[in-house]
Amino acid sequence: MNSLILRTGTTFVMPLLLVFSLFLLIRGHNLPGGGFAGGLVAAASLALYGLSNGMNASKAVLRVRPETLIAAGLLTAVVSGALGLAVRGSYLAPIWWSIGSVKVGTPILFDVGVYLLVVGVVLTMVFALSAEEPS
Amino acid sequence: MIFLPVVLPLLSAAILMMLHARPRAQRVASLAAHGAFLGVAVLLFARVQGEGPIAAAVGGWHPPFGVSFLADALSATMVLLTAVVAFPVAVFALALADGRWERMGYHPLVQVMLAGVSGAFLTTDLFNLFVWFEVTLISSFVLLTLGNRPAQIQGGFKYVVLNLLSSVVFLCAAGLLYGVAGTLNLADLAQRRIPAEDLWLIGLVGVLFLGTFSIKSALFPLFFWLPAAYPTPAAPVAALFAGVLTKVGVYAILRTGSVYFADATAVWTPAVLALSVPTMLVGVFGAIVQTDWRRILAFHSVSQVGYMAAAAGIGGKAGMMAAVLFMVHHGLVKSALFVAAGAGWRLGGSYRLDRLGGFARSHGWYAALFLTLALSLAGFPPSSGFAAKLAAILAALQGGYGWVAGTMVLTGLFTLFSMVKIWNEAFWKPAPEEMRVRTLGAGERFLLHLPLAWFAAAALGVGLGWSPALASSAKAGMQDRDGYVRAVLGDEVR
Repeated sequence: MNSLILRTGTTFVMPLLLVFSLFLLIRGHNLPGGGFAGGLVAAASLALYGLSNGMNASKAVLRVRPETLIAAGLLTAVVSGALGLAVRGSYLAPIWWSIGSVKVGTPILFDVGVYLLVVGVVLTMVFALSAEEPS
Repeated sequence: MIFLPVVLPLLSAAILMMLHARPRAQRVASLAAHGAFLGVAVLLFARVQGEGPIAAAVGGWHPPFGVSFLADALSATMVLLTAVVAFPVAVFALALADGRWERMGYHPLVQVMLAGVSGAFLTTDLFNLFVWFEVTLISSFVLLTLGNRPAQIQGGFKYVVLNLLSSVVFLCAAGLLYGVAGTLNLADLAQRRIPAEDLWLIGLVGVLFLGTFSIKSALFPLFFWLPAAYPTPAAPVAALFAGVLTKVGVYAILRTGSVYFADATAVWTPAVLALSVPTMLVGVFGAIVQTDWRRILAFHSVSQVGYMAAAAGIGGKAGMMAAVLFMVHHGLVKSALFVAAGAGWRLGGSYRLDRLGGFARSHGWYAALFLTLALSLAGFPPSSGFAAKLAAILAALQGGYGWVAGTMVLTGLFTLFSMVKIWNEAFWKPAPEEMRVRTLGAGERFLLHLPLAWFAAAALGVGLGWSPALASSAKAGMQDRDGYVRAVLGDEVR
């Protein structure tokens, strides 16, 4: 799609969307939001960039193959659960640390994994569906 | 320990995905992952045999609030079967690997499927069971269609639509049950008292469950997706599916029947038999008219699922034992026969029996291994098939279902008929002129024979050692309802 308005608009909207996706990811700690919603928003922003500037540009911005993101996300999520298994003897059992008044724990690691996984899955689909010929 | 059969394959899947660009490393890693999975399954099985059932709650949330896993003799046996089947199939996949379906993600997807199957065998929560069904379904759908040939898409479409439909039905049934009972933990459900005016709802849930599981395991009215889908995928995928996937539905029938519908056997047993006895006959008759090697095997799978489900439906100690023995037997032998079909395709270039021939003379070891396995499927002593069929027929007679036992004997006869047909066509008759036998290197020949030898040894081992094996799993507690509830909920039982 070749549209100057969309391209220019995307330049402004995309960083906002990416920041918003991170906000959703962190907010999911205690409130509605989380890795899944955040990942969808991040993937949507990259898809929007792909629509306005071409999917190859979007792939270049992403730098890594979306399949690698799927693998990294799965690995992060599985490892965050395995930490619970190792330390507290039960898979996915949370481990918490306090940094000042903020509590940080393995659930946020799990959510990061979900985030990466969702971005990877959605972009894999978007790139595959936008391909001109089956590769 | 108990979570490892699920966590380990997921971890392997992530690592294998990262090795995407390096096929050689990926193959080695895949074999290592299968080996590790087999090791975990053996350890889990040994521990359950030694110490009795192991239960654990995910995230430390104890039942009935969190999801809990239970490895009793039944679950541990099923996980072990999965691993014992998956490992030689992985070796077989190395023999056929040409990089085409590997580039499309064969190795990681197999791991995801193994995680899904193990999860389904180990969970005690019905909603969680639904999730594992989905994990298995989605990964197996992609595996089924790797390669994108039209027949694969067609078969895969039937497979995924029918199975998604059954998943929706299952979800609705789980919702209904949660509304009535307030829990979906199988052990917690089993000890809840349902008010009399709500009992009809439980009956409805039972019908929906049976409908779902019968689709998943390919029982009579809605079995046609299996013969449409299983003959189409890459050879190792077909072998893995035939050995592992068909068992998940039968396991669910066996588990829910023995734990939740234990009081309702007067209704449950005839209902399961009404589905499974026609399945045996339809499957075996369907196989008779086929001329494609893998189609014969796929129709046979339908027929054999009928045996397992019938034994599971009859229930009681004898019925459960027979069902488990039959699942083990069929898992080993049917995957082996699919591996043999894949080897025949590799050697002779076709799955069509009229285009093959002469293997008995040209490939003696291959022919001998096939014959061992085919006779095991038909139920000759001292193979696993004999033990499994004998146990199933005895269970039917003991339960007073002489007509079911009679059908089993009759079906066995026709099974022999179509095994002999494959033998006559592909092995005994002289090779047709247009058949060009591929000469394989020593390495590839080894990789084709090794899985078959593994399966044949396992089938003979089960056949020879079945009575001691059954006795020891009886000691470890093939769970009845009370045993199951106690194992999951521990001391909180009223």
